[in-house]
Amino acid sequence: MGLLAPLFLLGLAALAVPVLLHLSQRARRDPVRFPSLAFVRRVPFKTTERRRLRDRLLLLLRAAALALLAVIFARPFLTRDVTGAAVAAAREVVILLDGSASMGYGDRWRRAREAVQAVGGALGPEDHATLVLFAATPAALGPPTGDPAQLEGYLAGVEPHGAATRYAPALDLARDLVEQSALPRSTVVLITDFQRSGWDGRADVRLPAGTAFEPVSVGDGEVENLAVAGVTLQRSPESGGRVTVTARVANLGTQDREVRVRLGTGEQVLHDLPARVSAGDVSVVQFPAIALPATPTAAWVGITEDALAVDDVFRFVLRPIPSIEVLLVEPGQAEREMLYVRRALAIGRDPALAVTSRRAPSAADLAGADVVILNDAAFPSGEAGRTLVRFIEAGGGLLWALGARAGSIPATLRDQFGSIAGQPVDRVSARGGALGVTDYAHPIFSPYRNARGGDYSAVRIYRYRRLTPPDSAQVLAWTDDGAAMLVESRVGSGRVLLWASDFGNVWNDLAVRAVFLPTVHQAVRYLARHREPPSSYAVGQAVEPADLGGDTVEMVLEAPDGSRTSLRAGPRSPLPLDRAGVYTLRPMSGGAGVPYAANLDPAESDLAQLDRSALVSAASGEEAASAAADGRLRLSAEERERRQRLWWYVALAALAVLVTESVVAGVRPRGMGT
Amino acid sequence: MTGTRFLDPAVLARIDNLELVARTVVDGFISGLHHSPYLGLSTDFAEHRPYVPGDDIRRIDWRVYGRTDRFYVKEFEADTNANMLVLLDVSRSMDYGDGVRKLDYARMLAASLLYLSRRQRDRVGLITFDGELLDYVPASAKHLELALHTLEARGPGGQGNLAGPLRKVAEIVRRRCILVLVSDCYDEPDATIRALAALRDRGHDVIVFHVLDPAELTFPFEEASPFEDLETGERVPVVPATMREEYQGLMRAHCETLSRRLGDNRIDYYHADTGKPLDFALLEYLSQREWLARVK
Repeated sequence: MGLLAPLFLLGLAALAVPVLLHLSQRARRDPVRFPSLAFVRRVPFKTTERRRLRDRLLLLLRAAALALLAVIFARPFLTRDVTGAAVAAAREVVILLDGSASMGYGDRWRRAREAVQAVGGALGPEDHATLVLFAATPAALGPPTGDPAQLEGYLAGVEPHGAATRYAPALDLARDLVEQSALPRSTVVLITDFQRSGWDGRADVRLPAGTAFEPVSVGDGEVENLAVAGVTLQRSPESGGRVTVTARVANLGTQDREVRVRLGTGEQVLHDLPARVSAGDVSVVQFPAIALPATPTAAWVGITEDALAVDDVFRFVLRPIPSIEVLLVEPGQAEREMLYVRRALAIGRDPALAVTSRRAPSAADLAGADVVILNDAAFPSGEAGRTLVRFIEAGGGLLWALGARAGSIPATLRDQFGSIAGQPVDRVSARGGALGVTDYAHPIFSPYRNARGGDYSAVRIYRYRRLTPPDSAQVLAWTDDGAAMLVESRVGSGRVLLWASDFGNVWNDLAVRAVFLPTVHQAVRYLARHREPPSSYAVGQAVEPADLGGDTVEMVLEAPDGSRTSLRAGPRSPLPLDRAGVYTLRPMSGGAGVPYAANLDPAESDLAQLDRSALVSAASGEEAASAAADGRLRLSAEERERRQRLWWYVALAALAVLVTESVVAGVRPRGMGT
Repeated sequence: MTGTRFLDPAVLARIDNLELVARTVVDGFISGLHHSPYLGLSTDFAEHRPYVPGDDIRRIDWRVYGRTDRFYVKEFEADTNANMLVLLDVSRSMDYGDGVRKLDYARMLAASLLYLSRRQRDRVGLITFDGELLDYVPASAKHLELALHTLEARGPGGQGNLAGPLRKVAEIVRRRCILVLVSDCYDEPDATIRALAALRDRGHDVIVFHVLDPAELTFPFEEASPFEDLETGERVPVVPATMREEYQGLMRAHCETLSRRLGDNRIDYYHADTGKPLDFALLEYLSQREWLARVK
């Protein structure tokens, strides 16, 4: 016999109250000495003996009722083990099977499958079991079933994949399944290697009350694992473009290891270097620079395969250095004032900035440009101006520095660009105004979003144009007297940035500040909508639609296991990569494909064990039961109590006692109670 | 501070000397009566004193006038023919009382009566008893101090009984007496009255002071408790609230029975409440005695 809330038994102490009261009263109340009881005895009353008997009976009945109430609140249950088959009531069983990459270590997967079979074998005739495969996200492998064979069938073809372990989503799903179940009992079986990286201890994964939680561990104690934790690519435009690959090899075991680290593309090994990795440490291996391919090409860094093979190869994509075409429009003779922007654009290497300088752009100049910079130049008039407007509306970018020679904003553009009011504002007498950035999260300022980043407030503004932006525009920077300095407007599909001063170190000193170069580069990238897919993804991440190429052509995505997913033309959703390897996106009609590399989450390579009691405690609120991999389900105390419902019987007994007490008390003469 | 203050039984009970108590009670009581016309009447000559205007001329001794040619009036001593015997019940049941014990009250009452009677030149005596006679001080003009001393020395006795001791009193007291019974009368009324009637039939003038504590009449107890009989030691669990009214009725009936049936037998019955000053009892006693004397 066990008790779910034994503290309620303290209520039994209340039984002592009437006894103690009685004893204390007796001890305190001496007999009343009276001259003669002759007349007292003549008053008719029940004999002392009968009263004592009655009082004792009532006391016993009331004490029994109190005791039974205390037992009810203590929620009793029988502690003997009850197997699933022995319990009559139907049961909802949720089997959470860890399908993360770490389950591929050694024979863990085989043991996990055996555990699933054991649970299936323990199912009762009325039980339903749902097999959920989880890693970063959980998914049921099939509808609930009570057939062990069908349950085993769900496992056919299922193997651990490269996703990281996350216990919280799986337990959330199990909770939902249990809550939705109509069956009176429920059990959640967690079959996993209890990887420490899968549980941060903060999530609320408490299962519904009364749900039995059975952890089944298939992990080993000490494990050895080497992993390529990641690579860093350093591209340079020299010699037509080269890349230096630096790999990080992690030793997640307990012994120092010597390892060969190889860099290759396809089947070809380009470099093979030795490395020594200390236990619990990371070694960095830098390969000699290799030529960048002309088209995106999958490459890899690998080490000798060990017990967990999935993290022994790190795949990535080598892409040629992208280029942004910049059309720089300058007003002619003022070389010194134009120098700063020109030099800033010349420094861009990755992406490369191809700068074309013109005094007056032609339609042909705009045809190949990604970004147009009007550096203190007037907006082109005539056909060039209209072409520039069409260029912007088609998705092009414009950066316009409104210096002394910029003139005014054409009336036709004032709705989109805003207007300039009056003469430039002179702040020289006040030693210049300060610049304040509105939103450091904007891509232009993102290099400085962190604390201790670039300080735009050090920029002094001596003169600026009083810019009145349209309502649809966004002011990105202000002067300290409240004037808009940098305004972003959307014109058609394009972006326009208006800078209310110049870039020539005349009206302000931004050009000589450290923030100038990154700001110009970021502005150009932002205006050009430059975006390069990452060289590699972690399994579970998704490829953004912008990285999937055009959406006008029907595409097909080839997964590492050879499966194909067609992508219809039109707006697309992010494309998740759910296993490690190289995905290839190619047009349905055929042609060269674009590779995407997905790798194991580095955290998954760490096979360190989790203190399972913490997880069990969080899920069920009690200490971990011993593993039940033998298929014999151990029921939690709450589950036992919920199933047995002993408190019902105790409550009935208490009711009977109370009724008896009422009857006995009712037949007593009124006023004779003690 | 008034004299009445000293008549409070609780205050008097603190005075160890019963003679002092009796004197305090009686002198204070008499001084409050202001020349009661009922005091000092006697036929025994005591002395002569010169006549002063206002004296009753019938009290002028003409013989002395004939010999001395002066007016003298006769002073008479109190009547010493009466024997006054106090029968004091000192049974265990008298050892009860919240403020003042019934026994103390009874002793003070007895002392006061003895003192008062002695002031009237009666011969006074004392008998104490519980189930048996304990002390016997024969009535005598010289036994006041002895009687008071006996009263002081006598503590509560054992189990009480009225009829038996009263029969023995009838046997040992041959001369006609004024018998004053001071008792709580916890005995069967029939037996008590028969014994007292026997004394009355022997020519004794019998007076009964029924001494009761207020609690014996009102039964003011609240908590259910075991009650112990002072005389027998028997204990009975009692729930006072449930039986108070019945008890009060029984007690009231008991007192009324005693009063009525004793009156039928020409026995004076006085209720002495220990919660009231002693002079209440004395005044009631003396008033009734005079009233009865006039009736007689």
